[in-house]
This record gives sequence, C-alpha cells and structure tokens, in this order.
Amino acid sequence: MALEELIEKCKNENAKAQGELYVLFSGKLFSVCLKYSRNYVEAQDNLQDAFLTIFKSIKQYKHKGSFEGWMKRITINTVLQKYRKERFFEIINEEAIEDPEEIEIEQSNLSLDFLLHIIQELPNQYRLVFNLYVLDGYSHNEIAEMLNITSGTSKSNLARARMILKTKIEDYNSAQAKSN
Amino acid sequence: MKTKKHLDQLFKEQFKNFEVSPPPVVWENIEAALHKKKRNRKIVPIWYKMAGVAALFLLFFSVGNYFFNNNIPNTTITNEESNGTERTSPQLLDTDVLVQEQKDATPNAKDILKNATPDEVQVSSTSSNKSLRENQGEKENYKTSKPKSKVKTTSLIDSDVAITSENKKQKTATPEKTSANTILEKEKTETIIAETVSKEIKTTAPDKIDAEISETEIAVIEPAEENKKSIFDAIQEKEIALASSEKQTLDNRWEVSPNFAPVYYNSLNGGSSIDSQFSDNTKSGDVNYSYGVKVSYAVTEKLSVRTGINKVDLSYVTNDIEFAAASTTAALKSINYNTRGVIVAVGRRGTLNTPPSGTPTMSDDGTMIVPRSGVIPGTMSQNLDYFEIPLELKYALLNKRFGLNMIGGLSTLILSANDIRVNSDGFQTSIGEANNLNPLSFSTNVGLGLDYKITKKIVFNLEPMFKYQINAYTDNNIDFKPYYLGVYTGFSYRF
Repeated sequence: MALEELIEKCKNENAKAQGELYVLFSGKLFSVCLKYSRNYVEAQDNLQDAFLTIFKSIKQYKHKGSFEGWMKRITINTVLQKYRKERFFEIINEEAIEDPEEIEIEQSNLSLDFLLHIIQELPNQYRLVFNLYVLDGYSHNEIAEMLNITSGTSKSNLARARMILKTKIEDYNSAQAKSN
Repeated sequence: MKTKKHLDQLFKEQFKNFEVSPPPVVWENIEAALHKKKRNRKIVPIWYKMAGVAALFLLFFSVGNYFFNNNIPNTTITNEESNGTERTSPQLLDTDVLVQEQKDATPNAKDILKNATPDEVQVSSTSSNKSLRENQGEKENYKTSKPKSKVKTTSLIDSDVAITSENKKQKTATPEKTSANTILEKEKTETIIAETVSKEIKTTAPDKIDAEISETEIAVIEPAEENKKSIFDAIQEKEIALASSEKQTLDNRWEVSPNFAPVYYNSLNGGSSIDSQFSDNTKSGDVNYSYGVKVSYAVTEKLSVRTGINKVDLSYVTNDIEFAAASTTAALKSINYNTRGVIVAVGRRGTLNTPPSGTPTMSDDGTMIVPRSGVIPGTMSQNLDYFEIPLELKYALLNKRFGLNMIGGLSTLILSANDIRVNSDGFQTSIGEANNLNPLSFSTNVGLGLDYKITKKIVFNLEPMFKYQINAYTDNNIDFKPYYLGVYTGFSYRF
C-alpha cells in the first residue's frame, strides 16, 4: 500500500491501516524514544503516547514535508512534554564551562547498547539537549525555544553532557583494559 | 583498534541506523486505547437512547392511563342512561324490543359462529363484574369491553336506529352482536335490580353504583373502593352536574415545591478530573447543598412533568497530595492558575521535586538527587457550582395520603463557578480553576419520590435522587465519571 493511501486511511481511523503504519514506523520511532527516555520502560510509554497523538492528529497532516519527519517531531515533542514537567526541579549546573569541542576518545569496541545506556543515564535536560543537538541536528536556538531555556544554557548543558559521556566511556575503556 | 574520534562523531555514526522494534505490548496498549476512544464516543448516544426509552415507557404509561380513565366514564354513563330508560317507559319498551329482536337473531348467530361462545362467556362475566373489571384493569377484558361499550351506548341512545342497523350487522359481525346482546340482557337485570333497591338511589350516581355493586354481589375489597373514587373523578369531568359531590384531585394540577438537599459528589470509577497522576489517589466525596424550586404540572392523575431551577454546589477531595511553590513549568495542564510566574505545584505524595534549596549530588546511576524542602503534604479539593434546570417526569406508583413515585429525566447544568484549592493543617489556598469543565453539561436523573399529603394543598416531599453527569468535562478521554446523590426535601403547594 502506498504511504499516501495509508495516511488517508488512517485519517478515516481505519484500524488495519493504523496497524500497518505502526509496523512501518514503530522501529524508527522507538529508537527515538529510547534515546530520549531514561530507560526502556519509559521509552515504551513514550512510544505509546506518541502513536496515540499521531493517530489523533493525523487528520492535520497536510502532506507537506516528510511524513516520517512529522511523526518524529511528534514523538520528540511527546517526550519533551513528559520530561519538561520534571525538568524544572532538576538541578542543572548552568555555569558556563569551557566546551572542549575537541573531545577525542579512543574508540574501542563500544557497543551501541553501552552508548544508549550512558545517554539514558544523563540527567533529563542534558540528555534532551544532547539528543536534539548531536543526534537530531537541531540548533541551539531551536533547542532553546523547544525547552524554554536560553541558547547559552543549551550550550552549557551540551558541554556537560559531553563531559559526562566522555568520563563514562573512559572509565569503561580502562575497565575493559584491566580485565583484558 | 584504537583511533581517536570526535565524541559527537562517534555517537552520530553509531546511531545512524539505529532501529529497535518495540515489544508487542506497546501495540496492544495503543490498540486498546484506540478502541476505548471509540467506545467512549458511543457511550453518550447510549445514554440518550436510554433516556429516550424511559421517555417512551412513560409516554405509554400516560397514554394507557388516559384510555383507562376514558373507558370508565363510558360504561358508567351508559348505566345512567339505562337508568334513565327506567323512568320513561317507551324507551324501556324499545330496549326490550331490541333485546327481543336480538334474541331472535341469536340462534342464527350461533349457527354461523360457534366460536363466539367463549367470547360471550367472557363478556357476560365482564359485564357482571363491571366495576370490578375496571379496578383490576385486566387488559383482556379491556379489549373486549371497549367495542362492546360502543355498541351498547349507540343501541341505548338511538335504540330505533340501532335496531335496524344492528339487525343488518348481525349477519356480518356476529361476535359484536352477541356481546351486545348479552350486555343488554345484563343491563336490564341490573337496572331492575337498581330499581328494586330504591328510587332515591337514582339521583346520585356514585351511591347508585355502590348499590349495584352490592346487589350484583361483587366482592369489592378495600383497594377497589379506593380506585372507585378515581373512577368517579373521571365521571365528574364529563358530568358537571355531579361535580359538587366529590373532591377532584386534578383540580390542583399545578404544584410549586421549594426544596433543599444535601448532595454528595463523587466519581463512579475513581480517576481524577484534574490530572491522571492523581488517578490512584484516594478521593472522598464531599457533602454540599443544593436548593431551589420546582414547578410541576399534572398531565394525568399519575403522571406529572416538572422543571425548575436549583443551585448545586459540588466538591470532592483528592487525598495524599503535596504542594509547593514553583514556577509555571510545573503547571498542571488542566488548571488555569490564579497567578502568573510562581504557582503552587501539586503532585502525588512523594513525587514532587522542589526548586533548588541545597547542593545537588549525583547518585550512582547518574541521576541527580535533589534535596527536598518546602513541600507541604495535604489534600486538594475541587469545588463546582452549577445552576441546574431539570426536566423530569414523575409517575405515581401509589397515590394515597402516602405517595410513592418514580422520577426520571434530564438536567441541564450551567457552570457558574469552579475552584481548586489545596488544604493542609490550618492552611488553605485557592490555586486556580479547572479549564477542562464544560460550561454547559447534562445529567440523567433517576430517583424515588416519597410524599405525605398533610392537607389537599400542602404536601411534604422526600426524594432521593441519583444524577449521572454526561459531559461534565471537555476532555472525552478523562477517566472520571462524576455523579451526585441528593436527598431533596421540601413542602410543596398545590393549586
């Protein structure tokens, strides 16, 4: 079934079409949820909420731009909404730190699982900023608007996220080296 | 393999083709939620349907009641007319002739239709138990008695015409004819009996019928006596001449009832109208008050329609919450806060994080541990004020000095105020108002009405009512099904 046709059927709340759409895109969107969420279970919840929003608002999709991009934005927004509530109470050190643009790490056999794990372990706002900037290519200004923070905060959060990630990778590598 | 790589680059590359299938449970949940939505959408029409069915049911009752009441005057009037024939001998002779002629025709009829016999038997029994028949209200008897009474009246009023027309009819409409025949015979005996009892009796119809009943040895028990009064009421509507002798209940068709009720508000299925995070918190319904006035109009003796206006205050309490001053980022989406900037954040007990008040520390798993301070445990209450305009039908099951009624209908609810407050020991503050309430909503009402007639005009009412709100909230998916219970008391005045 062509995607356009599938979208039209989903607009009419055709259950079969909704199922097909889910099969087609759940993998990609779940990976988004995994990166943006704190853990696997929360990622599941977020994916569920995201798809419900997608099915509810699919009538508003006007075939402008990529459909996948549209769904991804909804998914990211769903996750942001969820963590935005909690974010305020989280202590974020916003002091500007020197962002070592040139963090370089020795790449060993770092598994995707490990990398995902350390992203998920980041404090909410660091994780969101890191994902948005590094993995999804949003600018600091866009991130600032999405998270209702300043772009300076966004930059500082990103630097801190990088630091944490770097430390964890280094620790992991040295542990690996020892065991070898 | 050791190569230096930029951190961002490492993640970008690794996650470039990152795709993970979610576990099947996610789709199951989505599917369930989608179906639930559809089902929710259908719930409202079902309520409307049910209300429609209830209305139809009551309509049938009232229509049945109407025919019921109409039937009675017919038969009693004929009795009177047959009494009238007593006084004037020519007419009496005519009826005798009619009876004779019909008797002559009877053998033919029997030959043609032997099936008519059971019908005949039934007819004779009905007519002999005339008064009792109506009291018992047996449907079968009705069916047969209705056409018969017609035949009877025509034959008695225009006996001459009736003779010829009936003779013609006899060949074609045998059952009717035979029944008319037996009725006439019966009536003749009745009138004779009445005659023998007393001449005075004739002047007042109720007494006369009483006499007939006693003479024809119908075992009239107490309840039947009660109903007899209503039969007379119906007669009086048609026979103005007799109006003075009996009290007429339907004189007082209008009734005004100021009322007052304690009302208890809660949700059928728990849930929370404020935020889904409070779904599992314990709730306690609060008892508030409703007061107002109702006006009712008696359509028939048993059925009345009523409307009015009531002010209703409702509230419920969500327990085990905590609250703290916070910035708007912690806002609950269903609340319009009173203040801008700093708000009172509310969360389930133990879930609320507070603004920075100390040095954060990072736990082993990388999450921040935030010192908690300024969090106050307490309860949250939502208060709703409505104007209620009911439209209800009241059907009397028992209508004596003590009355028992069934009440059903719909109310239109107009939201006049709403307020969400948090309470702690000795501390209470309004935090804002809910923004997910419909300004106009409806409820379906069922209840029981008990009344005691102190005088003919003044009645004491006690009405326990259950009211289920239909579209109180704008969010269809909200897991909160509000209802309220009220015991309405008051005195009503009939006029």
